[in-house]
Amino acid sequence: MNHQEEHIIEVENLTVGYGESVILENISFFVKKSEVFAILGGSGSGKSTIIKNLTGLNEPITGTIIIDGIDTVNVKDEKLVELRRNYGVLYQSGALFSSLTLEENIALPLLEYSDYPKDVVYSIAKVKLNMVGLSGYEKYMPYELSGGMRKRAALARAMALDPKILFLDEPSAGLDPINSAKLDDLILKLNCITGVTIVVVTHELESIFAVADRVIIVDKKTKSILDEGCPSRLKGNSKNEWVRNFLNRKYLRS
Amino acid sequence: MSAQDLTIPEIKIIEKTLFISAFPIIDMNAAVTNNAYNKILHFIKTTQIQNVVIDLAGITQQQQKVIAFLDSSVSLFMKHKIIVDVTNIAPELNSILTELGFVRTSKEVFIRHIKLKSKSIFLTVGEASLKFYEDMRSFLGFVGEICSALFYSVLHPRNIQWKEALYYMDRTGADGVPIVFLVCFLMGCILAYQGSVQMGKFGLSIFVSDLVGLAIIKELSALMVSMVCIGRAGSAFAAEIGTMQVSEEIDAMETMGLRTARFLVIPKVIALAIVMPLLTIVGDVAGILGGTLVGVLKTGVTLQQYYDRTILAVGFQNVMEGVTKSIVFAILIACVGCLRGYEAERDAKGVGKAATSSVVSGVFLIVVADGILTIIFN
Ligand SMILES: Nc1ncnc2c1ncn2[C@@H]1O[C@H](COP(=O)(O)OP(=O)(O)OP(=O)(O)O)[C@@H](O)[C@H]1O
Ligand SMILES: [Mg+2]
Repeated sequence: MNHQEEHIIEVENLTVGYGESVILENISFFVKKSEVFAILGGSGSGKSTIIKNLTGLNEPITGTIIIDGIDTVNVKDEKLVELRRNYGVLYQSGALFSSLTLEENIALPLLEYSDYPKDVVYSIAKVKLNMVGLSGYEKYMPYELSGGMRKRAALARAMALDPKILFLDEPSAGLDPINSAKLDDLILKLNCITGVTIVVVTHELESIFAVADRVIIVDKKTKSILDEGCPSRLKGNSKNEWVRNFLNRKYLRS
Repeated sequence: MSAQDLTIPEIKIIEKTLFISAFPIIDMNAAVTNNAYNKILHFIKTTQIQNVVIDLAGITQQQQKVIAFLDSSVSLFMKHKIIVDVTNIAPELNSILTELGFVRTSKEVFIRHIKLKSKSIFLTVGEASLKFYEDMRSFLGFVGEICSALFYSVLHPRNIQWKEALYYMDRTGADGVPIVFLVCFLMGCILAYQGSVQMGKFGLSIFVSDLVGLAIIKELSALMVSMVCIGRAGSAFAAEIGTMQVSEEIDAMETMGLRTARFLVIPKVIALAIVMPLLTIVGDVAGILGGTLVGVLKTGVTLQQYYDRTILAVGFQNVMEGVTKSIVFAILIACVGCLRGYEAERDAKGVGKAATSSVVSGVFLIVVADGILTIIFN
């Protein structure tokens, strides 16, 4: 891991939810620069909700989120837009522009924020698509792809601008084991080469042990973080039994 | 008790209070329950009921039927602003009642919270005005944002999505010609007819061509084109962007710091702003043709005379007036359509609502803008 222990994301006493209903209460965690940070938890425990709050799609009920030294909850819009150019986001549903082809989808952020000429932009798009194993699909429309392919294309778009932080919500969901493993490799490679900080939600235990430097486990019932730390350490001796079972794939009838 | 019997002893009125014994109603078959509902409805409609007392004596189980009966009948009463008391509640039912929104007032009486205090007219008007104010503010803010994005696009024409813009121009423009032609042609006919009847009384039939020419070119052609485009384009824009909201396409972009307006709204605005003036000119021609047809047939003016007078009455400046109006309308229609799309709730119904409301607000805005522009031009 990095010797420089800088926290690129600092979350304090965060309460998130939708309208009246609180999903997670008073949670605090941090993400170190250039690490792969995983958020785990059962279905419906609020993992996607955390991502939505971190990326500014939803506003937290209370609490502070500091990303790259900027308090994103109370910052002015202008500055936030600046900051967000350094994000790459992959939502659970993929969310490609349905009216554009794959290469246009990826080219869009590049055309907006870089001065590259068009043909350069399109060749960058091609490279990014190749990275996620979708070369040859440049001219396809999103609806002509399978769910997993859409996911990978969305990942390629998230990486288009070489972001500082990548937020990935279940990137490997809907992929076969081989492609899923390839994706893990890709994430690791990206992290190694570019030093991008990656915040990832995933259910793939293999991925977690393979790629994650640190994890947090959120829980629906207590609306809190059950435990945090290095996944292989938690697997052996988490203070929380549920966490140990989760990481060991054990299901106990209660 | 038979199912046909309409006089159900379990429901009776004493003074202005309706007493309902729930047990016999709930315990019977569906026909009886239905009958009872009809009876209750009948009482509500014909008598001035102020209170309802629902007696739950005899009901001890948490049955689906009890829940269904209480919830549906109570909603019915609330709709008619009648206060509901529930009595003789078995302890097992307490949780159901709480669940259904009742509040315990005394040991055995629950009252459903009623928020029915009718609002005073001032409150209603005030709230509506505030909402209107907010609406206008967000609309103006949005138009401002679009204008600045438009400015940016003019400086960086490379970034305009011309492919998209051409697509919208094709769909709203080329495909809109027949309907615009038809509507404006008929408008010209009607105007000429009305004009010839009224002006004929004073022997001024010769001026029908002036009336038709000026009205169509300065006013009606641009208005009719806007109405057609609101229906064809504005609502489609709202639905399109609304659908993108539902599928989180826009969220994904916005959270990456992209101003989606630049490539979602600008092509549409540009397309409409190019196409609507052209349609307006088509409308001008169609309207005058319509006017000529009726004018010549009805007033006995010759074709040559009608043509000469029209040329005399209508100047280039008038044509530009109509065209300028249509450009402003185009920006308004595209903006309001897109704004409603952005504001759409994230479900299928929300998209429908957005489309409808884009039409309504569009018509309103066009009329207001038309008024303002007319004053400016004169
Ligand atoms: N838009 C929304 N409005 C209201 N409630 C929501 C909304 N989205 C999610 N929720 C609720 O928030 C809770 C957490 O949802 P979230 O999507 O964060 O779960 P998750 O941990 O990502 O689950 P999964 O692993 O299945 O993706 C759920 O109980 C869900 O019902
Ligand atoms: Mg999720």
